[in-house]
Amino acid sequence: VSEPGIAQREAQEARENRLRALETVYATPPGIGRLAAVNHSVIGLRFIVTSLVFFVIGGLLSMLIRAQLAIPGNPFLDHDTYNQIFTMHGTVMMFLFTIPLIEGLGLYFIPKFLGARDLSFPRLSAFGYWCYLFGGSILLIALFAGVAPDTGWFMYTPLSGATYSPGINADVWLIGITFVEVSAIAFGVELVATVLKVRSGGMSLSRMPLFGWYILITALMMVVGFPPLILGSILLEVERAFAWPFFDTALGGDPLLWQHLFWLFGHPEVYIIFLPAAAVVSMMIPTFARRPIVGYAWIVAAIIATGFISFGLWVHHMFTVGIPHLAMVFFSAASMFVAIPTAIQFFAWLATLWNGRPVRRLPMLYLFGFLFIFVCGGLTGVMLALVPFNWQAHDTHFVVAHLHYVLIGGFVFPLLAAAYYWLPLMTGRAPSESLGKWAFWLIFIGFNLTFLHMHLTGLVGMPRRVYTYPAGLGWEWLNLASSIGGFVLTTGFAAFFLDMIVRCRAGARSERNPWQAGTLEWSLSHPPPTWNFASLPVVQSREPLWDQDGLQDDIDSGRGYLPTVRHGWQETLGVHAVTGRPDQIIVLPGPSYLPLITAALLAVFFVGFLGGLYWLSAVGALAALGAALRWAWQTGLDRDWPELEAGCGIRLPLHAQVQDAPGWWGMAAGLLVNGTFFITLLFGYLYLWVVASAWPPASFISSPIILPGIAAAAVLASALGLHGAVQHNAAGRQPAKGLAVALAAALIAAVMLIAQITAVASPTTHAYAAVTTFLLGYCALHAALTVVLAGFALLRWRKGFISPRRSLDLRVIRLWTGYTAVVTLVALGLVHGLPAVTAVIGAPT
Amino acid sequence: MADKQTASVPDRTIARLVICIAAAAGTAGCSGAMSTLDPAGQGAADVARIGWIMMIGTLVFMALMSGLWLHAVYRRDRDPLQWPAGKILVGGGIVLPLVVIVLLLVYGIRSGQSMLPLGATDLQVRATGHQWWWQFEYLDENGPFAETVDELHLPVDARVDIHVQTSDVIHSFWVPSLGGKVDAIPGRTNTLRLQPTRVGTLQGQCAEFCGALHALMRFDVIVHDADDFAAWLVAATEDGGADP
Repeated sequence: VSEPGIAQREAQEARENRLRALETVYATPPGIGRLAAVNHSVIGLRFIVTSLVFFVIGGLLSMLIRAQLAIPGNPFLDHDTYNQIFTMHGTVMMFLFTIPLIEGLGLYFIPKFLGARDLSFPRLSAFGYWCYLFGGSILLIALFAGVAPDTGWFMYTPLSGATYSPGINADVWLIGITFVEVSAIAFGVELVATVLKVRSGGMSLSRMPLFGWYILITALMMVVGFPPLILGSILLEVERAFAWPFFDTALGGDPLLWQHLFWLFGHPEVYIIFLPAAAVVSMMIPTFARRPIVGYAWIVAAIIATGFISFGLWVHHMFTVGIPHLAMVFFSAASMFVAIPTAIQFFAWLATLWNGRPVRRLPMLYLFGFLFIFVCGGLTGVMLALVPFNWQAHDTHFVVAHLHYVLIGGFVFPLLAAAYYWLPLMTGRAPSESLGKWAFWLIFIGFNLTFLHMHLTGLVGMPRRVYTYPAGLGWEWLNLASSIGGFVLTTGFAAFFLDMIVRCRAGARSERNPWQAGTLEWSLSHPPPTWNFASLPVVQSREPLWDQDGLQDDIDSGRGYLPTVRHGWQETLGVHAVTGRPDQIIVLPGPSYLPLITAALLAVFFVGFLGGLYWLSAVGALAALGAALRWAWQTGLDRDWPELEAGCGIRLPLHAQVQDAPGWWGMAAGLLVNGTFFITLLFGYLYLWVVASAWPPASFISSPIILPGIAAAAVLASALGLHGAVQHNAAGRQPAKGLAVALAAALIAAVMLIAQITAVASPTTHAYAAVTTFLLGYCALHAALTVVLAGFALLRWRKGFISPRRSLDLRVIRLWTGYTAVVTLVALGLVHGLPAVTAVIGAPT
Repeated sequence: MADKQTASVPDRTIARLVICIAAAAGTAGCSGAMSTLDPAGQGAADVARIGWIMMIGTLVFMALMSGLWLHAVYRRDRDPLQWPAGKILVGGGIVLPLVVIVLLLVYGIRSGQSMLPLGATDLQVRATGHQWWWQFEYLDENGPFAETVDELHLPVDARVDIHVQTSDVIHSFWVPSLGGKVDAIPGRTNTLRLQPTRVGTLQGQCAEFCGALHALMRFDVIVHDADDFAAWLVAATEDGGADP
């Protein structure tokens, strides 16, 4: 045997040993152990498959709608059933299909695009999945039990309030959807921290694939977009359960507050759905144009602009509620100007194709469907943004047609293209074009046959959400054609699913990178192993597979970062957020039942509330908090480690020992969620104060000023105590004293804040009392959690998890305590300051 | 009337063009007692005009974008075209939408003017939504002097202010061939100006989902000529506002 032969065999053996070690460390436990899985590919696929099941359910519901509307006066469905069906169709498609599918895509693909082995918080994504599954199940069970929500997917009060919807139906929506939204929040927090911190070495922000930018902005939009909906849902559920009159005009509430909160979420939601779809388009176009994307920086700027503008449009859903004319003109203009960043993306894609060498494969056909349908939806959106036209078209079938053009064109078509594009990677099966083309034409023609003339159905006067309509208004043929089109569309989707199943079962094996794409995911074996990369690539380009010769072999042969397994750890690289310079080794947590247990306990909380068993809810909430603390306990290190070998000749510290750990970013993103929730609450407080008619209330809060003074001093003391603990710890002294101060002060603050609540009239008497009690309760809850966290930190320190080098726990809790101090000071200032100001200048009229 | 005298020449040209298209479309199924495209009132006519313009614009842009895409992907010569990317992005991504949007806003936003309750009015009606019927009260300075249910009587060529309110949940008052809709919201009164331009029977319907029988919350609108309306008013007032 020759010398090179021996060297080759040794290299081969080393390679196999490394892969075997990775296999052992990353394996998902078999059997019941699958419930403990946290790996991003596993969880991502679970999200995708579950969301597709909901898509089929939502689709079947739409078939019932089309069957009912096929002819005038159809006796097929009664109004009660129909109202549940159309409400559930919208709810399922918006909350249980699109958003979870986006989450699945993000979880599955982001580490593969960014050159990582997993996400920043794998257990958090597993927790999100269980929340989604349990929350979605609540809605499904209600559907089959015949008590599904029936007031439309935007749940306008007072129709959705206790007086006009006394049944459990509305509670099912509020509680089920809030439970599902926990997963959206978890996704937002996880992906912000992941995209910013968990990439491979050398991947600076400017080398990041556009998908990363799209998901970063989407995640940030979810972080600030979902809190208004969650707040609104909590307020409405509290009104329904305990008669706190937030939306009751007779008692100082206002039903329009609900609409503002809902659409403050609801419009960004449209872009939360569109941006990930544009992301997959931006990944496919360069591959099929055989050149890098044109206008990368333009697209990044357009994504960021979309994110900002989308929060300034919500009132265009409310042009008929009687808003001042000037305000409507502003929102009308803003709604149209959002077309500009979208147009920039379209022309960047076109320019890429013009300046490339386009290859006409099946995904490109679906992208034509996307372009055609979405452009139409966008243009009818501009029409609807014009106030006078909106007054006619609003709440008619024109809007139904418009929103389906936007959502099916702007989301479903790109995702169908993506399914064919990434099928070889995800399943290892070669793409085939035959059945996919049939499916495309059935879906494309069926879609337009359903919805194109539906614009006209609306303009000749047919409102949306009617279970029946009379003959003789010119609506008969339009509706019949839509129903026929709907069934063609369904046939198309059936053909697509059939094709997918056949491919997955019996497709030919795919070679690696069959489209000759340039991004990192195509360097993985097809399908990818759970650890993704045998070693993490050294990234020097936006399209590493096109520009870096031999990269594939470097990755496979362990010449990248972190090639070898040690201590049975799952490791990935943490980088500087902007430059992509490696700055830490992130040790990932392995499989655990804690995400499932925590979500199940949270389910006890939600189901208890649904059943009116509030003691059970309290037990569930406390137990879930306990499980979360147990979960947090398992993170971190119980001793200091030196810097460790990270491959490519560098040594790096472990993540628990650096300032800039993902956990810190996670808490920062979490507080952004919380802060948005708080600001929305302040908006509600001030909105009712200024706009609602039955104000001022009979009495404002009455307490000697010393009591809020003590509360304010106490929250400040607790924040300073934690700050002191962090500083002492960093200087090598004990943090215990600062933590004890923080704990005691937070306890005093919690007690004083609860005492403040008793100085307000009963919350059932007036919206003022209700919203003031809610605000003070929010602060008291935060003070109480500070007590728990300070105690947790003390215990962690006693057990040796905290040292001068391992200060992450302390710094994360310091963030929380500082946040609590700020919101409490603002809330107390508002609660005591506004009545004083009103006393001086008089109540607003 | 003042509006028509000051209308500019391009305005008239557009109006004529639109009337031609509308006539063609009318025969193609745009007419009907609830059609926004078969206007019987000033507001609906104004919106139908801008609506037609925008629909034509939408078709033009769809053709343009699809054409550009088909050219980019299916062009015969597949070599890179080396077109200037910056110009494409600025021209197509910014200048094109900006110009169209500004023109549309400047021209279009005033289409709603005739539906705002500005200036003198000839008749005031209070429309109250109930689950699931409409109550119409005809007002003078002393309050309601006549009342009808699910049937609204209006004089032709008069400026009528409809004060919309609700006794329970949110409803929306809408007579498509007269003008836009306005919501009936608890605690508020929203006012909509309607100006019927031809005599006849039209239909209206609640447009905001309001519970179980939302689909059946429909009403008739009877537009009388002036004499006819005066006669009806006398009869209705003598009726004491009872349901005719």
